[in-house]
Amino acid sequence: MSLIEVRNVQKSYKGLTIFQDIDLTIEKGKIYGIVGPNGSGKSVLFKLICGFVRPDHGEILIGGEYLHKDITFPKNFGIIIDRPGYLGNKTGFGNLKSLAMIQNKIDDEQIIKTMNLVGLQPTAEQKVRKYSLGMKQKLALAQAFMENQEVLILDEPFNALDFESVEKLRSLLLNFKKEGKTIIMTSHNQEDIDLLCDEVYRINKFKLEEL
Amino acid sequence: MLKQQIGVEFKQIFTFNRVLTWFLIITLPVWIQYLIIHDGYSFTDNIDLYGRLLNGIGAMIFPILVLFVFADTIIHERNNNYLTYTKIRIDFNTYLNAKIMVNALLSFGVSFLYAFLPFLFAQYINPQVTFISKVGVSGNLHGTVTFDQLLVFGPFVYGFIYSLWVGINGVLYATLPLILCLILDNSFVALSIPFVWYQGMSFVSAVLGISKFAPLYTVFPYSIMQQKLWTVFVPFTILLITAIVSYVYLKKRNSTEWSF
Repeated sequence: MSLIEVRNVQKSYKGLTIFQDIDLTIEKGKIYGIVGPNGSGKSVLFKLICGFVRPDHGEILIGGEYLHKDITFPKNFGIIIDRPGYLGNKTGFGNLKSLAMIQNKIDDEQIIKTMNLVGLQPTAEQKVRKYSLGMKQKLALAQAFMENQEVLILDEPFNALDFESVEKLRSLLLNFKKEGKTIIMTSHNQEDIDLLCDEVYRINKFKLEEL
Repeated sequence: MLKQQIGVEFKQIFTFNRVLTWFLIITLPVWIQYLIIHDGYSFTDNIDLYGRLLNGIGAMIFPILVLFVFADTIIHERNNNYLTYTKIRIDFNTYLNAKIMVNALLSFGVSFLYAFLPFLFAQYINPQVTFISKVGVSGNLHGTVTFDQLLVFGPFVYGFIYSLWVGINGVLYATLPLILCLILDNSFVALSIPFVWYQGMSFVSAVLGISKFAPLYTVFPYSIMQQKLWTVFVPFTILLITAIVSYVYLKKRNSTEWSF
């Protein structure tokens, strides 16, 4: 059974077509790359898979369950979509703690471990509103990784990261793959795609085509 | 999941700064009013003193005060894209309902205390300690403003029920902006609507000669002659229906897609 299945999905916004009858099958334990020009619909595809938007036509299955029928949102997904999200008046740890408390699956140790993993200092008192773009991106990565999710949906995960952090993240994603996690990502950097992805799809003229 | 999320919201909101904000909301407007009236004013009785204590800057900006009890948290969550990352962890409706419930409980508590503590002061503390001495010296009879009808049940029942009324209005004025924030693109407009209604409709009703339906006077009736009690429910009901319709619209819209 496929982990994620997108079947005959159509989507348009205010008369503007984004997708026409796209199909996509995601198998466990692989890294998938989605490429396409700005505005081609990469983020919309991710939002469709996460259940944030509904397809106009077609269906999406997550682990064999129909999105919006059997489940309202996929379980065990870690995501970055559009841009990092944060509470500016809290520290990095405070932000992650706030999100972790919702499902209460992990303890503070796991949060601290994840912050160290992405290169953030867990004990720093700095509020997130004072973070640089790169630090906010690392915080977004930490929230996606911290609950040890099976599927990672990462929209431009390398955004705003310095060279060293990019190298570290690449290695981290490859390790996640070895652990059996499934990753779907976008990147404008072809090197990231070439280095990491097992399968690559391009959004072209409202369709998804395998490269 | 709802119970769990309500617990999470409570845990997160009880910070030093937030509790200080609640304390200031409850005490500062009344304290300012106290400083204005404690010397040189005379009052027919304790209830008259109570009305004067409440009828100050706090009454004018009541919808703004209750915003800062809890509802403002949703603005930061929305504007900084934080909500996106809650969506993958909890069903939106559960999250929204938890926010609304916690907002309602806290805004009720703060609004109730905002009205009830000055009542305790005017009715029970001041007569003992005499912070304000000129009480019972003016010639006017009490029972001249709306809600004084309740005095036949005794002052405590009056103070308690009236404070409940202020608390319930606090819930409404805090809930509407929270919901509107998730519907309208402009947070400032969303937060302003209840205050504009409160002040704007009070002005309009005065112009139309129906001040008894002014939202301001139905919550803090100390600048208008006594009206029948049912009149206070008119603007309240309009606002309640607006809040319910907004809530239903938000849930319906987000059952198809998230637009924030």
